[in-house]
Amino acid sequence: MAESKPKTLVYLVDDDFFVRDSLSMLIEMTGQAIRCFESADDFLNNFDPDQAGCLILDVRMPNMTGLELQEELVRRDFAIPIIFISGHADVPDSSKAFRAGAVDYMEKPFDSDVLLTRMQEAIQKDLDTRVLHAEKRKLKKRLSQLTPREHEVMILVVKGLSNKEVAKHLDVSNRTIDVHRAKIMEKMDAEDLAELTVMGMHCGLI
Amino acid sequence: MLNKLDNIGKMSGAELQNLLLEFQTRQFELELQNQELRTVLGCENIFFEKFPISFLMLDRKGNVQRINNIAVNLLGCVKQDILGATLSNCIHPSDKVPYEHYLEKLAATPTTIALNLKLNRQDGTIFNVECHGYTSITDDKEMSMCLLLNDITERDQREKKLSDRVKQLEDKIRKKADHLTESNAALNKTVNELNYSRHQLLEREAKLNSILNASIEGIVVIDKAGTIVSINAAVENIFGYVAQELIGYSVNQLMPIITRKKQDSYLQKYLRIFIPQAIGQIREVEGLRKDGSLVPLDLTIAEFPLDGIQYYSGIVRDVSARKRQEQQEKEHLEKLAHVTRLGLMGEMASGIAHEVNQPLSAVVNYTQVCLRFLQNENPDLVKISEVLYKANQQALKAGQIIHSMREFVKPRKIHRSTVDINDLIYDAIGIFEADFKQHLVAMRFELTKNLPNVFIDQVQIEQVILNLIRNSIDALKDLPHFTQRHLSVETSLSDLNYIVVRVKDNGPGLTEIQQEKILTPFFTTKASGMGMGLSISRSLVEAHHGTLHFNSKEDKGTTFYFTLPTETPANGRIKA
Repeated sequence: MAESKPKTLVYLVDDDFFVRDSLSMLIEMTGQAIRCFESADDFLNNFDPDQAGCLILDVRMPNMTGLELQEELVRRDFAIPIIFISGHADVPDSSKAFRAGAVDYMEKPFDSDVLLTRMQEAIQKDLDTRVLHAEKRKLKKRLSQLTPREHEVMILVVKGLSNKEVAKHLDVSNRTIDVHRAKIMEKMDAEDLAELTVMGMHCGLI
Repeated sequence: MLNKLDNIGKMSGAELQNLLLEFQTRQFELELQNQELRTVLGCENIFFEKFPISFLMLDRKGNVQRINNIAVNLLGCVKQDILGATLSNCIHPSDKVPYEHYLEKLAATPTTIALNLKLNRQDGTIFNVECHGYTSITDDKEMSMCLLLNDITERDQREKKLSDRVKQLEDKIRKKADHLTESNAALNKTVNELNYSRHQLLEREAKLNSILNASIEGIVVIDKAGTIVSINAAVENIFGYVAQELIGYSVNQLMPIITRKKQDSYLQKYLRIFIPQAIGQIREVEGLRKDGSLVPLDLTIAEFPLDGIQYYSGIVRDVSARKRQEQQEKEHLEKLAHVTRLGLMGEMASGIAHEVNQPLSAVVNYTQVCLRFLQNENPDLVKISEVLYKANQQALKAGQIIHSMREFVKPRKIHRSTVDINDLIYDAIGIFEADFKQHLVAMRFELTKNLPNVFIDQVQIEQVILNLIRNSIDALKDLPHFTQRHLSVETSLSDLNYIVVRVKDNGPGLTEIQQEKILTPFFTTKASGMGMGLSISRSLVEAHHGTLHFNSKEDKGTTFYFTLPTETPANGRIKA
């Protein structure tokens, strides 16, 4: 696993050896890479934040419980999708887990197929989130390249104002706005106004 | 008649005759007079000598002219010596000056003057006289002083005696009076004291009454016959009677009907037997209220004699509120026990669920793996059998958990047998072989050979050993990777002839707080523990007349140890 980084990785944290052994076996059979940890600390010390995937997490464990680990991850702003597995389903525990953003909460013993399906969904969700985040980061980087005046013009443009209106609003000539707009389209790498508007939305300009 | 003699010459014979006759008559008269005088003088002499009064006649210079024999006897002198001499020799030196003055005064005064004189006789005796004196002028114009001496020694003595007597009487009277005054003062004091005491008594009575009447405890005073003498206000409240309805009546009015049936005999028995027994003790009794209801009471009885009569005071406390509370508490406890049982069941259910679901989910996963393997065209049968074996083991484990849970819950029957403790330990440890390998625990036995046998329920003691080893393994699992994990089981014989079994690990140890609670039910340091193992183990060991203890130090490790009595005729087969 170390030499070639897998596309996605499932983390499994459970203090019971046989649960780890059996579940990792099952998951590996689907071709999904998996890494097992016997405690929350073990996981916190070894996980890779840049690795897409999901976390299958036991609730009741010595020292740090699954719910405590979830809190810690939220605190570290690491939004990996979590599927809780619990030996004994507990309503307060599960609601707490969901409020903190868990994607699922399953009672042991669970249907392996259901778990595998949920796992795939979670991985996909993480991938989507990561893409979206990457896109946002890219756009933010481009946006940061605009001059303050260009930034100002862009806001007005994506809000749907015509060049004339923008010029009038900023009390400059139409010609100046034309130049700004061309520069904006270039820097934001936008094909047309529609794409620029979407970018504006993603960057929270509208 | 004599002047007629001048004219005698001129007188006639008749006349002379007359004159002669006159003279003769005169002579006769004179002779008669003389005779009278002689008689008087004789009388005077008799009077002078014989009258029992000391009589002296003094001349102007105070020299004794005449003295009668009584006076001589009085003065104790010789008549010849005293005649012509003054009395100075006879007068006590202290009275000589007053005597001189007296004589002068006497000479100058025609009346009788009295003087008390102290005289001394020649023989030295001293005596007192009362001297009455008067002055008389004799025919020859000489002045003489008459002194009458009256011996007043006796009188004085009498007077003195009298005055002494009077004095004594006065003293006596004064003393008596003083005594009376004293007595009076004492009496007054006593009266005052009595008044004060009475005041104090009244005050005390008032205080006592206020206390008695403010007391929530009822106080009933009865005499020997069981008649109520006095009650306090609380009695009225407790029994619902007013004082007039009770005082003077029998105390059995306050006793339940059931005991009133045989009223008098019962009361007598009560007074004779129950009360003396109850004195100084608190008895729970029932009282009868005016409305016929019963009131639970705490009764204490005190005994006191007053004016030779025996009285009993019964102090009763209405404990119906306490009884109610006790009842409520009992109900509350029952509820609590019920809730606790429910909680225990919930706790156990949760524990059982968690413990069992772990191996079950492993089973599900393993079988799912096998199913997937079997979907391949050329299934790896070796791999499949490996996985199936694991599934099998996990299923057995689940069953074992359920079984041991049932063991916890079901009532135990002890089946004792003679066992070598070391054999038992070897057998028990076998179960953990896999765990030791998996968690890299170095297991060591330090079993003393040739120990006496123990007479125990093998299953139960094995359960204790398994529990302790399971705990140690769980503790060792918490150690960081690559730390040496040691677990040892030791057996030995104590000085008191007990078998001691020690399970020792070098795990993280227990904190002080954990040490305090570790043996209490439902306390656990494990996320998935129920907190039952140690408390059950301890009760099992104690059922075998042994004890279970532990030593623990944070970051050093923990040793749990328990003792078991060795097999003796007393606890061995003979009894079994």
